[in-house]
Amino acid sequence: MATSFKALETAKDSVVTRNLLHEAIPITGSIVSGTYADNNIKNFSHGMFQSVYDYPYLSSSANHIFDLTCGYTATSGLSGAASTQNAKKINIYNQMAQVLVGFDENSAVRPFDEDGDLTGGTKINEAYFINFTRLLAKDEVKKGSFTLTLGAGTSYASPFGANTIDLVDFSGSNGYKVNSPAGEYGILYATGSALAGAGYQKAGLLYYQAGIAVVTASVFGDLLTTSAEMDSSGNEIDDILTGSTITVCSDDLRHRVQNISFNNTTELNSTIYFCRVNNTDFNYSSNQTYLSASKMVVKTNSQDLPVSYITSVGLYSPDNELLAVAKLSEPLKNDPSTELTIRVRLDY
Amino acid sequence: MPYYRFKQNEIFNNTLKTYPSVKFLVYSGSSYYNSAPNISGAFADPIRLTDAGKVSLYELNIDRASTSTGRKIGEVDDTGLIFPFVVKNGTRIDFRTSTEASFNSASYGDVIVSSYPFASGITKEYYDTSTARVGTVTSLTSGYVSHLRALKNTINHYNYVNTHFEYSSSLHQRDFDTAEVGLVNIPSIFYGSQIKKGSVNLEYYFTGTLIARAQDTNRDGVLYSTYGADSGSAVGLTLYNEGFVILTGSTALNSSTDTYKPASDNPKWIYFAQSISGSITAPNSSYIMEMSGTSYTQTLTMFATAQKGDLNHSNNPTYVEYSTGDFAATSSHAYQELTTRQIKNIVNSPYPDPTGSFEKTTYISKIGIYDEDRNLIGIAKVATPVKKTVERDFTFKIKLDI
Repeated sequence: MATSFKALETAKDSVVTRNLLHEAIPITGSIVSGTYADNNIKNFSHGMFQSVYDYPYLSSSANHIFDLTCGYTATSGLSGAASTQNAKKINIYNQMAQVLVGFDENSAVRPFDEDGDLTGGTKINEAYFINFTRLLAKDEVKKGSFTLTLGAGTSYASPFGANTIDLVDFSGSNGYKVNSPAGEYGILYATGSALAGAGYQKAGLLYYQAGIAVVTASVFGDLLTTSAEMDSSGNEIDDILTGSTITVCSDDLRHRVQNISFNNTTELNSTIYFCRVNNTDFNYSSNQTYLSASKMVVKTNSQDLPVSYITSVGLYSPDNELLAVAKLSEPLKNDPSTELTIRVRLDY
Repeated sequence: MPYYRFKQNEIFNNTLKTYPSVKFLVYSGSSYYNSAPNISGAFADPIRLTDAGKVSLYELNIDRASTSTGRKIGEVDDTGLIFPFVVKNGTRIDFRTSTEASFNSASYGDVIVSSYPFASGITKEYYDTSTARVGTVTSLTSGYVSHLRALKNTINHYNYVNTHFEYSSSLHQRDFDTAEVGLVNIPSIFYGSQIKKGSVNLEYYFTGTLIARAQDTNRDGVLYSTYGADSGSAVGLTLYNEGFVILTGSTALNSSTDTYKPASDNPKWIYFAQSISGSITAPNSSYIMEMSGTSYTQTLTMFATAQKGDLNHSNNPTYVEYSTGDFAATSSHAYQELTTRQIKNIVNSPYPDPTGSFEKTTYISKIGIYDEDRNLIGIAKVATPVKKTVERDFTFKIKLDI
C-alpha cells in the first residue's frame, strides 16, 4: 500500500512509444478449395460475394478469413445486357472503386489504375477482389510481404505444377502509393514462366490498411502465354465473367489459388513511466509484517540503515485515485545506499 | 436538428454483475471446459491445437499442422501456422514466453518469433509429505519457492473468515509444509473478478460412479464433504479471489485403488483432478469441478425525452409535399430552394377524401449522443420509427455497455 506519492514530471519521467507486432499469415490453397469440400465457403442469396472460412463455417471454431467477389466497369468490353449479373458486377466494381480509388473532379468514380497514376495509363477494368478480414489483416498488411500464388496452367484439371505465377508487392516497403482515400497501397506484380511478357508484369493493387487485394482478371488471360481454362467446360476468363455468376467466378478463382501469404501489423502504443526512487525515498512500509514489537523486522541492529522491499508501483491520477498497479517479478531491496529507476510500461 | 442536454437525473452509471457458470470435467489426462469436445480435423487433432479444457487466445490456426514449406513470408519462414513476431529494437519489447538470455543474445534488428496458441487452463499440483515447499538458496539464481508456500500469506490472511485458513494450524493439527496437499489453480480468465462464494462444487467419480462431493456449504471458503465417506468434515479450502482450490482431505473415499502418484492408492480428495496433465492418467477416476465466476459490466443508462411540442419538424425530403408544378430556381450562379413547399399531411382519415385535419407529425428513427463539444459519439436506433405528434411525449431509455 502506497503511503507516499511522488509526482511524475511529464517531460522527464514519461515517454510515449509505438511498437509493431507482426503475425505471419499463411493460407494454403487446399484450405481455400478442396479440403473441406466447400463446406467452409458461405454463399449468400444476394450472390454478390462469397465468404471463405478456415474450417467448415457451421463449426464455432471456424474463422472468417476473407471474402471473394469480382466485377467490371460499365465501360468494359465485358459489360452488356446479356452478361450474367451484369448490374451486380458493375455495382461491385463501382463500390470497391469509390471506396479505394475515390472520385474524379466530375464526381465520377475513378477506375482502378494498374500503376496507381490516376492521371492516365492503363486501367484495370475487370478485377477480382479479395477482402481479408480484420482477424488476419489486423491494422495493416505489412508492406512488401504479400504473395499470392495462382495456378496459371492451361488445363482446368491441373492448374498448378510448373505453371504458377506469383503476385507480389515487392516494391511495397518503399514504393507504395498514397493517393487513395482508403490509405496506402502497393502495386502487385506477377512473375512466373507462364507469363507472356518477361520479368514483372503489373497485375493488381494491394491496399494495406483496408486489407484488400485487387487482382486484374487478365492474370488468367492476356498476361499469360496461353489463356487458362477457368472451368471444366474450357471457358476462359472473359467467358466466365460474362456468362457466370459472381459465385461461380469466385469458385473458379479459388480453384486456382495455390497459396496466399503475408505478414500483418498491429500497432502497440505504450507510455513508459520512469519511476525514480531516490536513495532516501520509500524507506518505510506500512505492511503489517514490517514491524514486530515496534521493531523493524528487516533490521538486525537499531543502527542499521532502514530497509524496505518494493513489490509494486501504483500509478495515481492527479486526484490521488489509483489507476494502475505494476507488479515486480520479485521484491527489490531498497535502502539509503541505492537509487532505483523502475521502468513501468503501460500498453493500450 | 435540436440538441438537448441530459439533466442530472437522466443519466446513470450502473454495474451489471453476472455469474457465468464454469464446469470442468477431468478424465484420463485431459480436461474439458463447459462440456466442449475435442474435435479432430483433416490436419490437426484437436483442431484448436490445444486441449478442450483450455481457452485459446484469438483461436487462430484452426486445423493446421506445422510443415516445412520452404517458403518465406516477408522476412520469416512459412511454417504453415500463423505465428507472431517482433523485431528487436530499442524499446526492448519481447514475448513473455521467451527468456531474457535469448532476448539479450539477439542483435538489434533480429526477428524474435513466438507461437500460437496462447492457451490457458486449470492445473493441478500434488504435494507429498516429502515434497520440498522451499528450496535452498545457494546463489543469486538458485532457490525455489513452491506455489503452495507462495500462498502462505494469502491463506493466513483469510484466517479471520475461518480458522481453517491457517498455513500451519495447531488447532486443526495440520501443517501445509508437511501434509499431503492437492493444489488446483484456476486462471482468472475462466471466472473473471472472483469465484462466486459458495458456488464451488467438486464431484469425485470412480469407475463412473459418484463416490464423494465437496461443497462450500457455509460460503466461507472451507470445502466440506457433503456426500460419501468422511461426510461433514472439511476437505479443502477455496481462495475465491485468487482462484485456487487447496485440497487436504486424505481419508480414503472407497477401498478400491487407482494409479494416482503413479503408485496405486485409494481415492482421496488430495488426488482430485490428479490426471489433468503429466503422465498420471488414473483411468478409473474422473472429476467434475463446477463454480460460478463473477463478471462486472459497467453500463451507462441515458433517458432521452422528447417533450410535447418538441421535435415536430424534419429536414427529411419526404416531410414536405411532393410537387411537380413548382421547380427550384437555378442558374449558373445560384441555386435556390423553393420556400413555399407545404408540409405533407399524413393524418389518417377513414375517408378517402378529404384527409384528416392537419397535424404536424414526425417519426423518430434514431437518437444521436453528442459530447460537450457537439461531436457525435454514438447513435441509438429504434427498431421501428416512433410516431411523434405535438401532443405526444416520449422518453427513450438508451443503454451503453462500457
